[in-house]
Amino acid sequence: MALLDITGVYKTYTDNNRSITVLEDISFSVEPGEFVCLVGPSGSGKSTLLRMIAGLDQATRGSILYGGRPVTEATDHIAVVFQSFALLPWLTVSGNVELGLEARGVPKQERQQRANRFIDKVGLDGFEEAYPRELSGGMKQRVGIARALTVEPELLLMDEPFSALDALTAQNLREEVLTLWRDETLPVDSVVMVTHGIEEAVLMADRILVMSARPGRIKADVPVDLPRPRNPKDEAFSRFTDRIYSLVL
Amino acid sequence: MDIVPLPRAGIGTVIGLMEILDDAGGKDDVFRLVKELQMELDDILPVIEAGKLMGFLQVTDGDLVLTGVGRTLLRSDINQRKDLLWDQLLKIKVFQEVVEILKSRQRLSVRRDVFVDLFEEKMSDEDAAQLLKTMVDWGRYAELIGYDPEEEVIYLDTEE
Repeated sequence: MALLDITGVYKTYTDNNRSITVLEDISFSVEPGEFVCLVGPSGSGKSTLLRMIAGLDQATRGSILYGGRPVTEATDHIAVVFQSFALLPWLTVSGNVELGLEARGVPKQERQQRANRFIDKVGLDGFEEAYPRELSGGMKQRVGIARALTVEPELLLMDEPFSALDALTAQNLREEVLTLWRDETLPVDSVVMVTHGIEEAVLMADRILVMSARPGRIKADVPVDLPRPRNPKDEAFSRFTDRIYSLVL
Repeated sequence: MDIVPLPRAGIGTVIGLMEILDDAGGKDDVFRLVKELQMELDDILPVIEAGKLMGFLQVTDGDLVLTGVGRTLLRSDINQRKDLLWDQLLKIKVFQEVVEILKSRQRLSVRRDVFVDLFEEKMSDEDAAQLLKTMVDWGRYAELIGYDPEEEVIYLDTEE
């Protein structure tokens, strides 16, 4: 069974007798172990789709099934990493990472232990008592990632997680996210990532879903058959990137 | 105390630059890199300087080159990287001086102001504050030193 099954999904906003369809007839599935990227122009509804998968928004029509069951609200099995980090400035790194567990009523000692495991995994050991204002963008996003991992999701959703970072920090974090995804000691099985970076998608994804401009439709579903680890300097990588660019345009 | 400002660059940017170099076979022309990354020279130079100071990069005839220990870092997991950085930071004069001072204190800790005042004897107030900020950033990552923002205290990180 597919981990995630999306069938005939539409999203329409209605206001004062005017309606705008931002997503049209979206259908795809995500298998266990897959890293899928959604690419497309701004306004193609990629982030809206991600929010619906996370249970933070509802489809106007169609179905979104996780493990065969409809997604109607936020669930333990799915966690989200945001572009803007979304950290609470009055909490330390530890406090931010533990937040999801605290909201679920997990006792303090247990949530500290669980949080510390993922603080270690993302390289934040040493920063536990730091506040977000003391951190670089890259460190803030590591907190976002650790916070998402601490609830031990099977599916990790990432909404342009590197676009608020400089090119070098983004490069570093991309590699670390791939390492975390491949880490068999972590529960994360699959990743769905929204990006406007074609090279980033080719570097990271098993499959790339190319979306059209609004209303967003899936124009192409492209398996990335390049062997890992991938090198952007390779000829095959460049050719594949060109192919995706041509599908986007 | 013989100290100079550290380059203003985070660990993530240094490792990111090293990974890009690694993709290019461990060596690349600096100005070609600047163009490819669409960065300003002022933005990339501190990263290069930080990488050199940490011993992970060297510059030879306009080419940026990964050192042996730099290559080792890239092949290591996160905790091994921290251990490597710990070793490299202890080769940097200002870290040596700060660690000596911390070790000399009973609680292995010193108020932040004490270090800032010491640094201000050698540089501007702004540079002194920035130096401490960079030291805390690198030191925390390496788990060499810690900083308690509530008490504003720098301490030696002795946790295993």
